[in-house]
Amino acid sequence: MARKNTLVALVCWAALCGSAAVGAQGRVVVERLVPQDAVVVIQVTEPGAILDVLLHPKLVETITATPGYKQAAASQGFRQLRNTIEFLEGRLDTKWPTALRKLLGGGVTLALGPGQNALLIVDSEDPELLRELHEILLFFARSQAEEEGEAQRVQSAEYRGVSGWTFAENEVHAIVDGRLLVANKPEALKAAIDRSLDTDGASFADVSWFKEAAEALESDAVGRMFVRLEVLRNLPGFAAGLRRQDNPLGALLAAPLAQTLQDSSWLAAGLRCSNGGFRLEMVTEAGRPDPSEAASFAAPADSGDGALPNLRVPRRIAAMSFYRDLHGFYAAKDELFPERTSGLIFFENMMGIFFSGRDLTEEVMAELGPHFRFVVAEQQYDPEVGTPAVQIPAFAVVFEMRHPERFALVAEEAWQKAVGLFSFTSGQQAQPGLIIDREVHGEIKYTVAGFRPPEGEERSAMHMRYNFRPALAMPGKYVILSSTGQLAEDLIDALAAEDPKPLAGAHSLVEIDGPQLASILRANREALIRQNMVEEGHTRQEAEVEVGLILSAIDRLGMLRWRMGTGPEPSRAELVVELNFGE
Amino acid sequence: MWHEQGERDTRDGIDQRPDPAWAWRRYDPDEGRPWNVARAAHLWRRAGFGATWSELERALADGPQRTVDRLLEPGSDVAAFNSRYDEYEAASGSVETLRAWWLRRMIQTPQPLLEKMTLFWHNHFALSASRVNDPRLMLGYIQRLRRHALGRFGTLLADVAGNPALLVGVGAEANRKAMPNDQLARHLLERLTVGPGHFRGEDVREAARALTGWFVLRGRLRFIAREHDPGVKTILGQQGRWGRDDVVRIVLKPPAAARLLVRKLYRWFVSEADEPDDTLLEPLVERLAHSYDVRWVVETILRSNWFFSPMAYRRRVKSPVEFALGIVRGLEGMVGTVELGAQLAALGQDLCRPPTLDGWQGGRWWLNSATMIGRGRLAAALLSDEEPYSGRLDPLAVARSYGHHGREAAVKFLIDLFLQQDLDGLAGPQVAAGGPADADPAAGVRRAAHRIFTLPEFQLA
Repeated sequence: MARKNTLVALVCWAALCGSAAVGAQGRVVVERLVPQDAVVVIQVTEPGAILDVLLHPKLVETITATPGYKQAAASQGFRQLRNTIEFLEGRLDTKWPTALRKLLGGGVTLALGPGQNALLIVDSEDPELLRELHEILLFFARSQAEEEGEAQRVQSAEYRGVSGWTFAENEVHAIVDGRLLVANKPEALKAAIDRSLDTDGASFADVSWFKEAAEALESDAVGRMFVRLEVLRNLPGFAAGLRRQDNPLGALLAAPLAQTLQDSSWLAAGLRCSNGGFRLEMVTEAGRPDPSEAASFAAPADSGDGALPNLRVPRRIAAMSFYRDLHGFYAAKDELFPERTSGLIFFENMMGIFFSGRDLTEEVMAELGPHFRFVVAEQQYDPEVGTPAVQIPAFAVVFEMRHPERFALVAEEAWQKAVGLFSFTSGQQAQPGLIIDREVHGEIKYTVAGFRPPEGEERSAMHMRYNFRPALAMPGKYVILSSTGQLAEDLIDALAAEDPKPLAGAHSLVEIDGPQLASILRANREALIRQNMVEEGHTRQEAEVEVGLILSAIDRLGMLRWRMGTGPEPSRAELVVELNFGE
Repeated sequence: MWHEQGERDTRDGIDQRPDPAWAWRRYDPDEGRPWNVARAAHLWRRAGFGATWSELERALADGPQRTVDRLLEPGSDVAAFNSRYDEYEAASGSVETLRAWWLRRMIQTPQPLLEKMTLFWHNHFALSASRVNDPRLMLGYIQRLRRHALGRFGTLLADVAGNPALLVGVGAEANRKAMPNDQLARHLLERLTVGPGHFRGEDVREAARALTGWFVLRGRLRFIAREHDPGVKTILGQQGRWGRDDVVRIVLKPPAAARLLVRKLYRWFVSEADEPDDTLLEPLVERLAHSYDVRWVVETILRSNWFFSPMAYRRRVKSPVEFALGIVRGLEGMVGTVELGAQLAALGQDLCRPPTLDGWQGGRWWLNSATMIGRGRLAAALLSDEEPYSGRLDPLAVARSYGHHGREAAVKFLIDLFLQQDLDGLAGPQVAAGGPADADPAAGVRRAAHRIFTLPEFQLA
């Protein structure tokens, strides 16, 4: 426990310290200290910008208002931490946020590899503050070790005129040229000191893949990450993860990402902080896959094509838009899923029933265009009918038809057969079936199927089935398959209002709306608490705290957007997280 | 350890055909048969799902009879607890969630005997959710079992017979006059009451006629009078224009029905190892046949000399539920019961899904090489810091909370808690032995706890 405290203190200290990629104070660039064969390098080049977001008063207010924080704040460990911080503030004569900015101001670099080596480099803007803090922590560590009868735990040694220290097992550190170097092994620290003193030696700064990757990133990143994928791919777990494509739907959505990670020798990521959020850009060297490759089904056929912008509907929780050549994907099924062939044959046989014997690949998939979109939205329940005990959001998929004039009726027939089959099998189990109806929205006639209103059931806690009122609508060239008629109508309106221009090169676009997601989760709060109790074994109070934390976090998520694409140039992906400070 | 008075003769020093009057008389501790932690733990294993150390301490202070009093009528508000859990369960959308809530209820209930008896009736009626295929019907059925678990069997049988789950569960959703469905009648006679050898095929057919008119339509039980056969039927020698309620009354008349139930209760609470003599059971059978007061039988058994004799001690094999819940309750923790339910199913006891209408065979059938390995794995998972149980059980912390600091003291405490003094000379040191990686005392104690849970002695209730 004591060792753990020392380590925590050291990590806090490391977190309180910093360095710049380029020696702002005349130091060598930090990459010169990183081993040339490092596998993962993570740099925070402008900690201040990240701290601005993390220490935003609204965010702090949100976190400190959560029951989880209040519970933690009442614990003995937290009180100890707060006392330590107050003590340090007194000794350093500064408040902790200011000290944090000064100590981290130059940046932080973490290098993993080769092998099990780890090296943390912290550049401080105020070397004197760093030295002073080290002295205090050294005093603490020594006192604690002596109290526990393990005085030998805190040791120091000289290497090439530099004093190195160890406070705990698997931790060695030194201060070189106003930089704190922390390693998990003495050899790793010594090598870092060598590179610091012999600046003309081989280092990460000279590595060609690093230069290429850094060049591919935008220059205003406040944090960067470089990963040598060709080494990671040798890890059995990573390699198996890339190869694993046992779920056709998962493969349809994730295969392009897996292929990119498979084809590229490196991955670079750059983090930028914008007003109230983060933007993470990821780049790999992999370009457009060869048309003969199985994953080429996600590569837009021409450079101007790509996924369509997401559809906007009221109460939207999430939306996804993909460019996927379904015909190409399904034609390559034997190659993509050699172990699932029998399952796919069963699927084809079932589809053969719905599509009246048509060939699934050539006469169904080939009729669908490469743009398809998903939408998930919160429902509004008809008070005349009631509200289900567990509220499930409505969801829908929108396909494009290549030849609506001949395929629309085929789709209608297949859908009605599916509804009929559901009703028949439900009837076999003495469960209610669906009643098919034709309704008109705008000028679009669509088919919707619903359950009879319940008899004598509690209207505020109805059966889960009342979340569903499946609908099929075909406005123009689009096919809308929706879990509710309400969402189908919203999508008819959204399609009529849009003038879609493909996002050139993009094959995947995912957007999540934080407040709307929080809203549906809040509507199901009681169900989530109960689920947490039986899944995690928590008490009701613990479950309430955990669910409350999740809801608070999602409340602060304004929007999350993930976009990924391939092109002749390096493949790029972008994750944008907008935080919601309620301003 | 066991030196009984009033026990004549021979095997292990115990008469297997004792005087029934002595056998069912209240156990009164004396020098030869002291009230000790082993007997207290034995009572808690049978009447519940194992005990915490504080429950054992209280039992030792209270003595056997007062402990049984509290098991039957706990001081705390059982009704409020059950009402809260009924509400939790009512929102279960699946059998898996229902199963998880029931396991959690078994762990936390202030009246474990009630849940133990609910589980007993679940094994007796043995309806499976796979057949019933509706979580709400299953929930209603289990709630009925709980409501009457320690009441009168006649009332329970009548209530369950009027529950749609029973008809669906035995394949008797439709009972038409033109072609009577004999599934429910056979289940009632063969498994729930008189048992094989005490009825004829003709009784089944006649009872099936009496049950005509009952249908399950859209999850509800309905009586359609025009489908009922109003004619005269002869069931177990009784003639009349019988209907469903008459069938329930008639099948409980023969002493064989009470005998079947007493034998099952004996097997549940006393011993699976020996088949008891009719003479031994006769006092219980006579009384049960009179009023079908299940509570009286259970109470008599739990208070008796015979229950606290070597003929009952560790003479049942723990079911997977008893095995796992004994660990969780003893270590005073709570784990995720969704995963636990799935793991217990893999060990052969899928709550809400008995394998057949005969229920779980139990006894030695619970144990084979595969399930023993499975029990070892489950114990390791329950004690591990990793998913799915995330280290929510901490044997060292429990030992420390009772003042047993340090590895050795903690292991000794765990042996007292879970095995009492039942270890043979060799197993004790093996459990207590540390390993090279035991610098971390918590890890060492967890390892010792795992050894305890995989010992043959721990598999016996």
